[in-house]
Amino acid sequence: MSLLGRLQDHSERMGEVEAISSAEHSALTYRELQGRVAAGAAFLKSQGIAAGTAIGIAVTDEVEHLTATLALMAVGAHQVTLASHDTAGAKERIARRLELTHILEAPATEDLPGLVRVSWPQRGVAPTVNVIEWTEGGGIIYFGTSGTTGEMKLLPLTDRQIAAQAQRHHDYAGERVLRLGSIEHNISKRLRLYCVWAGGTNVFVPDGEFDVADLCVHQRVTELDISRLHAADLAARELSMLRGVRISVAGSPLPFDVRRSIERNVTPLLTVRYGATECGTIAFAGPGEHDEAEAVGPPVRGLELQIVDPAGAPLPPGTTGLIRLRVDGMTSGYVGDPQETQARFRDGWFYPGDVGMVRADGNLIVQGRSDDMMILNGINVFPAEIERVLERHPAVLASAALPLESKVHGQIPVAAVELRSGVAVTTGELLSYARELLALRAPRRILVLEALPRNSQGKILRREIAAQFETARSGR
Amino acid sequence: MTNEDIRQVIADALGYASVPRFRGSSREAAFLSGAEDVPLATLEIDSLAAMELCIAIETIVGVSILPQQLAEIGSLNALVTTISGAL
Repeated sequence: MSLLGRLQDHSERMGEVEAISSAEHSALTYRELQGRVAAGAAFLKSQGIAAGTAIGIAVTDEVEHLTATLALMAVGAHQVTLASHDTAGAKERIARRLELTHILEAPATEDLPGLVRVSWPQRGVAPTVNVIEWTEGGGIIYFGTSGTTGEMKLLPLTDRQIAAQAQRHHDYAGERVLRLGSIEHNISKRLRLYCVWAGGTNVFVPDGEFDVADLCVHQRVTELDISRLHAADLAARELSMLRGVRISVAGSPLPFDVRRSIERNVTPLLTVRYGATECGTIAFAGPGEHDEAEAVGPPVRGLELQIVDPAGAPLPPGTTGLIRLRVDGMTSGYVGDPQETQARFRDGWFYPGDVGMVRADGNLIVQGRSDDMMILNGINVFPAEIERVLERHPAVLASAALPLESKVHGQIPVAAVELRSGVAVTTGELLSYARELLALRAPRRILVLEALPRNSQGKILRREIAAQFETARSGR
Repeated sequence: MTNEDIRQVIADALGYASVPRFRGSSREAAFLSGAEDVPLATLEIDSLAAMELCIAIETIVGVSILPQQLAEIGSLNALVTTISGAL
């Protein structure tokens, strides 16, 4: 069943269940959300938005953004987020690549002056229509991904594909789900939509400063979805009030020590997910399933996963190779990028670009990005392995490993670290520690930075770190 | 970068390359002060240590030296001259 079909179904079967909970809005039940989406769709039609209209959403309020997203799906428009954190130039490039004709905004902006502007009502459209009339399968949501290197990749997902991905998130059913990242971010938007599909309650963060633990208690949150960065923060705190809350971490590998700290200090109900925008969840390790190898669990039911060599030949269990998979709800390529599409989508398989192995017990271990693999004098070195080791050091909060190009040695691994506050350690100590554990795969130089440079989604900007290494090298 | 800086880089690199009995020795102190040259043949530099020494030099100062060049270079003072000339 499609996402909008599920929303209609929830409205009829469990209309009084809270769909939305937010400090800035009154709670919305599924019946009320469905009414707002239906009215929003009628409003959009009155503004000339129809099936196939290419439109950017620049609605900053998260609840309104979700409602507008669903309403645009209902009219069959092709939509993309124009995030408030994106530069004007980035928005222009998105608009050009997707041939946007309209922008739906609240509040008004001066971005993209050539587009037809539609102002989304600030407190939503009053529900006057009871039934959503939707164009099933017609609308597309474009998601942007991998903004850390070069141009953002844009990939299309239909209502049906999002619904298929959401089925692998059925554990949201009946939960009150708080996602700390803004809905303007790709992964947050998908998880919000999965939650609607499952019939859970989407809890939104308030404007301004707030304490996560207090918010969870106040909002009776039962599932907290966070990034690796947030997880590292939580792991360092004693938050026994969250003992019964399920914490789900996705987006980047989560080191074993952080997992253990969360289990000990916060909640034993920890789930670590491995997935990609292109296909949704691939595997997850649930409570009690975390081990030192940092396995991410077995591939989810219905997903076919293989470990293969560069030519695509399957490798035996326990062998490291390229991860590839196929599953219902998977996209088939990137907009206007045939080269990247050909690299990632081959023979009906999606290659996420990760290297890993499947253990004899069926659990998947992701060892790093195949693109990121360094070769130092013939030795394969994965940045993720270096980062895992460095982040097990008690002084290190976060780390990023990267190569220094060498005409003689290939790629020399180096790393930048961000230290925990109030802790001192020398780079010499960190180098010796890494050398002890990684031997020839250890970083040969470590820079201690006040904070690792990150983009708005929290992803580490390795190119900026590489530039700092070059500066440090030429400055000596 | 002064020759004193380069001497420190080489000393650090020898330490990182785990060259035995040099780090913290009187020979290291004499080399760092410029009072004494150290023939490379007198250091126990195996092929792995030679590679690590070259990697460390390249990582810190950006000068590429092949491990097999070390034998031709001959001594730590000559290594300082080689690096200094390449900067």
